[in-house]
Amino acid sequence: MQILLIEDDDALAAHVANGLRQSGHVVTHCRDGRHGLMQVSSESYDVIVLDRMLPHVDGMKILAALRATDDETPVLLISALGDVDERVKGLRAGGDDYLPKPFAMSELLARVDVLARRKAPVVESGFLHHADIEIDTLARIVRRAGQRIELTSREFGLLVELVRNVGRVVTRSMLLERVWDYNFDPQTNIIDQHISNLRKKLEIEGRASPIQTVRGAGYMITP
Amino acid sequence: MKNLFRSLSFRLAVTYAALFCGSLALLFAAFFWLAASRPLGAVRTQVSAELAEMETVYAEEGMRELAERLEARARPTSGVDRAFHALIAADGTVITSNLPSWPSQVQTGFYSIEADVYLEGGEIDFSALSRERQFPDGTRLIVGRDAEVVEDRQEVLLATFPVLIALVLLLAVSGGYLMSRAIGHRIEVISAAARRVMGGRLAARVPVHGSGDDFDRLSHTLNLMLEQNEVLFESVRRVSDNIAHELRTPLSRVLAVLDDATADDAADETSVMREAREELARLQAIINATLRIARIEGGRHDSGFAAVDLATIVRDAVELYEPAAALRHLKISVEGPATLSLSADRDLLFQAISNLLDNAVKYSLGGSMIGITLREEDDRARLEIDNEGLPLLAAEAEQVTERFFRGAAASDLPGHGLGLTLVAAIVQRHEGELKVHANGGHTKVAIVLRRRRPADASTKPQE
Repeated sequence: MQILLIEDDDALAAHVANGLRQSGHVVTHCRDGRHGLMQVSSESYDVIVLDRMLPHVDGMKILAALRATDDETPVLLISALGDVDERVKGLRAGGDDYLPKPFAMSELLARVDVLARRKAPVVESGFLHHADIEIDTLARIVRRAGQRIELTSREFGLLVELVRNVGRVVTRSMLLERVWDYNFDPQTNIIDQHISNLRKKLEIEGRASPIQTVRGAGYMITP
Repeated sequence: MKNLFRSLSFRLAVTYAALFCGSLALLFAAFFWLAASRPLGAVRTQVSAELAEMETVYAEEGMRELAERLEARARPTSGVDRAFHALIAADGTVITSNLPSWPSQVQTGFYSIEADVYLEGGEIDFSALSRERQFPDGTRLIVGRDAEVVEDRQEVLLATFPVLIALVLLLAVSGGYLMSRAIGHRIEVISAAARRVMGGRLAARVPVHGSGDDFDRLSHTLNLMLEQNEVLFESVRRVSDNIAHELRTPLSRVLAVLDDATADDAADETSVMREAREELARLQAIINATLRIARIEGGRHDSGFAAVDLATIVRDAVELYEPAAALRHLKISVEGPATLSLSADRDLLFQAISNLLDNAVKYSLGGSMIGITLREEDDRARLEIDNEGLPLLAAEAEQVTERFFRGAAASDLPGHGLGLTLVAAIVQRHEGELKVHANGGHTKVAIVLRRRRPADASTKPQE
């Protein structure tokens, strides 16, 4: 995939570019806002990884310019401003995702993967399938091998998020952002217990839970 | 009304009114003495002297001479200073008199007799201030002098005085009320500005009237102070933002180095690396929490106050922590109304409640109960979280909201000592109260929030 990285910190940029290339992406790097803005308006990318604070032209301005031309390229904002409300500001300005510094490479890769997929039109039929799991997202009913499984609304949300991103790592913070309707920082890895409960409920008739833990990153359902 | 009586300006006005009434009374007393008491005293002295004189005349020269003297005395010399008398023999025969009537019984002391005189068809009012003596042979002698004018004056003065005082009091009290309202209004303007600043709007200033009066001078000084505070605060904020930025970038690089070292094969990750990664995550959490607390305390959190349902937020937070609680065989009970609306920032409230629940789950005795009570108290909402677990000392309970504070009993458990600091900052942002009661192993945390926001605090802080 074609990824544009706009980041002024060379060491961090080299690391991020390296990580993205290792995952099979093609990376173009811009060191400041002015070049970034030029790249954005002249070339087409699958995902843009954009630092919020840049020399010359601010990241938020680039984002605004992009959205003003109806360019819907997914943008992942990265920023040293890590507070929860900064995230809200970034998303409100048209960012598709927000990742505070410092971040683990795995977190960035997971988010880029999910964003790249989101660019493709998603047909919301109301039904999701994975192997023997069927989800009716409108009626909020989950069946495995035809047998109905009772889930709490959050467990349902977690499962939907994982099934929607089959084959991609979904990090804990991504799950928190998408399944819980609150912007907050949990003090502990509170998500793990919910996943553990979800797994137990999915393990019917000796079938293994499809949810894998990806160490140091998050969770994933393998295709 | 209670506020009115407590206002300094009103109390000053009342004190002033009391002093004013006091001095008025003194002035009146002086005037009364000069205009009424003293002239009356003079008449009394004159009457007493004349009575004594007539008594001597009677004793030395007899009845006839006395009667002549009395009549001579009664002959008007001028219209004003009229003399009156009555000489009555022991058998009741009036020997001489120019008084229309007199008391039937002998009086001691002074008394007044109405002695109107008809002159050329007109009536002239006289009041004879009289005194009498009964001679040993039973003869009654009444001697009087006109005191009509003075007595009238005395009467008028006595009647006017209460009315005058009442009027002055009324004026003073209503004046005091108006004054305290005017001053109260000026003070309220200053307090409102102070509250705006406290609410995080550092750029807010006290409006200056423009008249250059005392309040304007005070406002001006306060504004200078606020300006200086803002400059200082801004520089502290810039420093802390820079620190955050400067710390986060190297942290990113360290994480990057660790990532690179293990990128090829996850099995390359040694326990040292894992430990380093965990410590980095801890450091990151501490930086994030510290900055977040600073932002909320400084009113820089871009908070969206809106009508929220506290009961729903509590239920959502409980749902988040139920699996973790179940793992420790803890039960969480929620009591209270099904909905409890208030004006608040839902994300912040959720954060605060989840921090409290996190603590309760972490520090409770395995198998115990975490009780959450929600109560509606007039214009307030009260949330209490009860749990039994690690003992918190009473002295520690006062310190738990301090940054990095950790109870002695909890020092072995994971945590940064910032969870309750964040809760306190959030509660303060909502202008609520946070109380932590410790009783042995029993800990109760109570949050009291206003259900409605004061109008000026709900506006967004200026960045």
